[in-house]
Amino acid sequence: MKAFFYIALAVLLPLHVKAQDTVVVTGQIKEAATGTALSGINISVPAFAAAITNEKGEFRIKAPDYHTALTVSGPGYQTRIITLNGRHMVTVRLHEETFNSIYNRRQNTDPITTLNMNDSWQQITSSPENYLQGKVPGLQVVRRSGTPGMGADLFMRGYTSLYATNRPLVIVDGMIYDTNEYGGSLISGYVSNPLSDIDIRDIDNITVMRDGTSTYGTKGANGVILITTSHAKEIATRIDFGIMGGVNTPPAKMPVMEAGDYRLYLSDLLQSSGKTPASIAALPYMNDNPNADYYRYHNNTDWQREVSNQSFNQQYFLKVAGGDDIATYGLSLGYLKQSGTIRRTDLGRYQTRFNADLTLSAKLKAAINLAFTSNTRKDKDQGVSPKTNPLYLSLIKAPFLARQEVNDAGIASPSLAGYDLFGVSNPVAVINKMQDVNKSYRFFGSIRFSYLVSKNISINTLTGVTFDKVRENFFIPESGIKPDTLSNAIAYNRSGSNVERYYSLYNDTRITYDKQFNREHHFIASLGLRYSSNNSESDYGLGYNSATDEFVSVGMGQNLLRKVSGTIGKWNWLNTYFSTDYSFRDKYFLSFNLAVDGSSRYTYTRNQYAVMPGLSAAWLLISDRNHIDALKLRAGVSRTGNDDIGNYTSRQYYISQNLLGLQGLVRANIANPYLKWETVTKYNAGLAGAFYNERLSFSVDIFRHRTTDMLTIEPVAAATGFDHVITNNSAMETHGVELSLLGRVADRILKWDLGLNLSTYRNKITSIPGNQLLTTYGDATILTAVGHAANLFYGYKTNGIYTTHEEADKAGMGAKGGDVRFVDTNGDHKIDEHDRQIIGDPNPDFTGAFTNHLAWKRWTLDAVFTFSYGNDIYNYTRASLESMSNYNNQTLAVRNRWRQDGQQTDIPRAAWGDPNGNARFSDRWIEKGDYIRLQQLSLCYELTFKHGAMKYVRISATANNLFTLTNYLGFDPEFSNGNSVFTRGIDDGLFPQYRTVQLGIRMGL
Amino acid sequence: MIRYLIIIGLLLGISCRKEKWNDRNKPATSQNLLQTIQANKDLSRFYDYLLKTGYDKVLASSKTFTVWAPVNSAWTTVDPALLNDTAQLRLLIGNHISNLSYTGGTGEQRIATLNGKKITFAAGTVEGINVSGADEYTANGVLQVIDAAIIPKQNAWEYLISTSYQQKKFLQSLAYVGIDTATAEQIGVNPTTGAPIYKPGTGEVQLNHFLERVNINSEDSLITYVILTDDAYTAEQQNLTRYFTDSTAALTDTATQWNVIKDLAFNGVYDKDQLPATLYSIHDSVQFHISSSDIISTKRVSNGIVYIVNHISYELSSRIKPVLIEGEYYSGVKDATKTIAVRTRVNPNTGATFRDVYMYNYGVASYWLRYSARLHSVTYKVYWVAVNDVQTGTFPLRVTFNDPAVITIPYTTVPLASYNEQYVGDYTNVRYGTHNVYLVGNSVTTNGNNTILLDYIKLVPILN
Repeated sequence: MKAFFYIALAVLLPLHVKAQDTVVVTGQIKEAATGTALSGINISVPAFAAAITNEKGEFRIKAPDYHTALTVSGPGYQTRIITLNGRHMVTVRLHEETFNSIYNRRQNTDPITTLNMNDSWQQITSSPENYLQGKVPGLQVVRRSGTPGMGADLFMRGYTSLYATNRPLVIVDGMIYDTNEYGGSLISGYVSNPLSDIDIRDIDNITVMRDGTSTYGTKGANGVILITTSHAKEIATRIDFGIMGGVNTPPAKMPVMEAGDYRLYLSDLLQSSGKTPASIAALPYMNDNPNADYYRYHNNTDWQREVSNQSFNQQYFLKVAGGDDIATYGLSLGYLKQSGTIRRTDLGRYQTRFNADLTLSAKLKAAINLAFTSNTRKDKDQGVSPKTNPLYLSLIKAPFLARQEVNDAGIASPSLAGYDLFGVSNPVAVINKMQDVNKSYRFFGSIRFSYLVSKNISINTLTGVTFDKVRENFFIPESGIKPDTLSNAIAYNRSGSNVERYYSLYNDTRITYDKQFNREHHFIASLGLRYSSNNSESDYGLGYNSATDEFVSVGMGQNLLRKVSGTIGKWNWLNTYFSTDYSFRDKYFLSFNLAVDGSSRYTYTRNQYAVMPGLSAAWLLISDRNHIDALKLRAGVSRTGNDDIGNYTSRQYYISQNLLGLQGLVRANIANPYLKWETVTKYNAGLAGAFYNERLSFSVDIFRHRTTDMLTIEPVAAATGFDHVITNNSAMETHGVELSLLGRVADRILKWDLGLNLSTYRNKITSIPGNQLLTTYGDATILTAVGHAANLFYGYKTNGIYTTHEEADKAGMGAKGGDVRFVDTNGDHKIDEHDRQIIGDPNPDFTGAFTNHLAWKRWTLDAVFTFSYGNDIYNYTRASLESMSNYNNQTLAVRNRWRQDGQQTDIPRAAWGDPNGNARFSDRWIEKGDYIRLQQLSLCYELTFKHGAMKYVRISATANNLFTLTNYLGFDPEFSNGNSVFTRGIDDGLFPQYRTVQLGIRMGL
Repeated sequence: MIRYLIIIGLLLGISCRKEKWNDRNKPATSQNLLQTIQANKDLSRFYDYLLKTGYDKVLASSKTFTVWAPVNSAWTTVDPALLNDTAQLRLLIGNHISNLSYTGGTGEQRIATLNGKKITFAAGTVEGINVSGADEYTANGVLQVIDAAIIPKQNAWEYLISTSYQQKKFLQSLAYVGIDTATAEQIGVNPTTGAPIYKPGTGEVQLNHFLERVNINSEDSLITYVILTDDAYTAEQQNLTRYFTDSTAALTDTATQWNVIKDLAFNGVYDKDQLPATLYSIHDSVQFHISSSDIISTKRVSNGIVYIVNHISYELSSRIKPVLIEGEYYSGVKDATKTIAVRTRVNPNTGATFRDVYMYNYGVASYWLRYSARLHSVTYKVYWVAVNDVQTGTFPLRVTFNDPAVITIPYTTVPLASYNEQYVGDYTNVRYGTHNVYLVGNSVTTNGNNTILLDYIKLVPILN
């Protein structure tokens, strides 16, 4: 509070300085690259005077004094604000319009990045958040997988919560764009991603607010991403049409064994299982003598080739904009078809958007945004689904088996082979016969009215609805796929159907007061109300054992086994907010925000309203002096919240329970009426500047987030009849630094911009019940302990292997020669859970991107390198492919397995059933996830026409994921299997990203 | 500049995945067994024999093997007859190769070779032959270089057949032709019995009753086998014949001879100077006392050891054993409409549980339960355990043989709550074979007086 007083004092004191008389300023405007004088450039002192440059680029303008600021703007050129600093004459060198300095004079007091989407037409991505990768400091964008349209997980400055969401809030055209999933997908590993419903070509700009989000109350904890879709900029009719086509090439194959090596591995494995040599020799795949089964077990199939292939993309996009003085409109239509590199996976999308601006009267304006998107996805199971993940199956499937049924004479039948004697499904059957279809659509529409009550006061109201529906169907046939085991039956074929519905009504109404006093004090204040009413429902049914594989719907399954379930949710949110911005002479800035949040999720009597204040200030230290264009210092403190605590968690509720065929209701939870939102207190300080006519600019921020009342799943005594209760009993802290640098290295005919973004965060749990918490995911154990980051890999350390039996016996751990030597931390001569240590950290030391933009005549070249350093990955797939304990095919490295006393190797022996636990969760599977990737390379050539119907033609060639430098042994070091902190860095077999090369042509009429 | 960087980067990127896996993927050795043998000059003769016998293809295949390869000089001591005959050579070379990888470090192992014989392999030695180059790993198995060839041995059965003792003749007489349904070709079904009809000449296999009991022809387990000289065989036949007296002399002779030879195999290999005082035979655990002084010849065979003895001694009581008849396992009754209870009781003295048969109030006089037992031609002492813990009054029972009406042993009263064996009389069996044994209830119909209770009957032979 004291700080606030001093800042206020510092800002208000200069109010008494009296304005001087009018002065005259002269100057010249030149183009930065060529030095040629520019005519027709607007010069203005807002609300005071305006001028235009003559053919020599010279101007003459009145100004209140020699300390005021001039605004310089012109078509095709950047808008600059120039502080006179006592100069009577200024020379300004303007860069082109698309010049993107990090430093923005209009930028307010909080760390905010705005991206203008000039290059959106040449993007390959099917989801707009992928575009943000590496472009915003502090925002870590981790693409989920190689499934088209699945998008990315976004982590703003690390994370703020363990169990509540870590997703930033997305606001599209002023309305909350819900990005949550309701009910979860039935398709293993698939995440429905509503953001992909926005076509990137419809976006005008994206603003990412890392801090200063207090007005969003309990939804602003993870920052806010504001997306503005494009409206008609002029009344002349413009038609833009684009066609793009591309090729996807599957990633390099995992080096798994071929039939010969695999059979040698099996020999050693079976020998260790205690089978007699005679019974091993009698196995059909070991019997090389002519016999009926010979051709079934003597093939060499490259299963990876059977499940992945080269695939193609196509996109069409049409945009029409125009209008008259009263109404302007923009209409866009798009069709996209993207295929994955796993066979028979693709995404088809139809998308349309209608944006209109209406001038109803001089004071009343309206804006309409309507968007409708329809998606159809054909997908396959990914992640941990060992019976149906085709990629995983293609790695573990025995290579000596054939794709199709083979008769005794070795002639292949057209029908596919069934699951094999090892119990492994036929990956080709998964590709060809299994259905995973996801259809979704979303309507997102709003209308906004703005009424100018007086010169300074305006009223804005926006009302909108979101309607979202996801329909999913899957069918897993009997043929070729290993049956599943239910609690009371064997499921030979399986079907599922799922409907997720979301409806939301949203209103945001505010009154704004905007006033400039004495041209020195600028004051804006808003008071408003946001309200949203939400409804969600998810229903699913699972069917089993339909009569034949032709009956694929749930209703065809056996009545006794059918399962039907679902969830519903209803919640309301009311947010009253007040925000005020004050600036003095564009030099001192102060901003105060306050939100008071109410939500149906809090118990009415205990926690009624969340109060979220925020204060930030900025000081333009230097402007337009010597070679320093600007240097601005800013700092802020704010409080935000996270209301993702579940709709009904604070209340006591009942769920249905089936007991021996009788339905009943049982208590589902222990109500916690004291349950409240998580509170995140944020501190931020930053310095930004531009030098040498903005050819070099930088921005650096340091931050600290302190989460208190953090949601905890706390174990309770067994006597309660429950496992856990949900409380607000833990706390966490995250701090970090972000740096952006942008330099124009060459500024002649060849323009070369080099950019660098670096972000770091360090996370620490400060309080948690019991001081530590262990969670498991896949085979990994994750430690959450006070004083450490929230999600550390907690497992066994290894120290090579026992190279001789003697060595193993001496150690006395019950191991044999060739077993892994686990570190006995507590020295009790036994390896058990007490010997676990921290073996890895999935959080990167830093992430970022290195961007290049080259422009030469009509050519432009963009190259974006993204990188991550210092994060560890648990390679779950390799843990399975080098476990050497079962029939699964293994990597080629397993050829170096220990086989002989005294053999020097770091790969342990093959041991049936793994008695020593060689494959347990240990540092053997933790790998460095460092990578640098040429995420995008694109080359454009533009032709403009002065005459004729066609205005321009732009041809682009773009490539994604051209190469990745990494030592990670899995398919792809970049993946994300969830927004949760507990799943980070666990590579559980998602489809990898692939290389795409796309050619596009865009025409303007 | 940047373009060059990108091109370099691209090249790096393409080569990158391979590189990071290369170190891990490079196998320690890529030479297979055949190549390794070929490369070793001192194994050139063995290599030639591999080519000649076709085992070269086996050793180049993608399965694991262990090869004990004799050095060139070892072949000079091998009988040229073995080397010149291809079939014999194949057996000989097959004796040097086994499936799967074996190293000497894991103690003594008996390993089946590709010709079906087993060899004994321990650290530094195989079948007593020195291993000079041990545990050389190749891509598909282990190579052991040895100083001499491993000549395949006969097994106990093969050895026995090669002798001319009476024991061999009798054992050969037990051979018969059976049908292997897996290989026999079925040509029809017998319309009356439903039994399959096989095409004559298919699926016929030579079987032997003795080998089905104790397979001394198998290489799987190690045995000690005893062959009796003809004198010992005849003496033994004479000793036993009185216990196997049957209706005809021929039957008596066969039963006696069968009993002479059926117990002459023992699990495990016992050296002559380390014979234990008592050896228990396979299956019937007859207790033999084989004295090394009786052994006139010893033969090492591939599945153990064979002794030829001129005298054999054993515990007669372990051969002519007491017969135990459990009450609850009756095979027939006088009147099947009556209720018979089988009880599980606890003996309060020992705490052990036992099951017995119990009938009461069934209203039939001289009710009987039938059992069957194989009896020797010898006199038996008859005991029973019948625990009368159900009523206060006692009742009598009797045991009889072959005909329930004939009283061989008179009625004996069952005392109250006695858990001990009760001697009820003697019975002399005249014919060796399976006989019916009856437990007969009292010859009254009064409830409580004709109760039947039996835990077991025990017939103890009187041997002298």
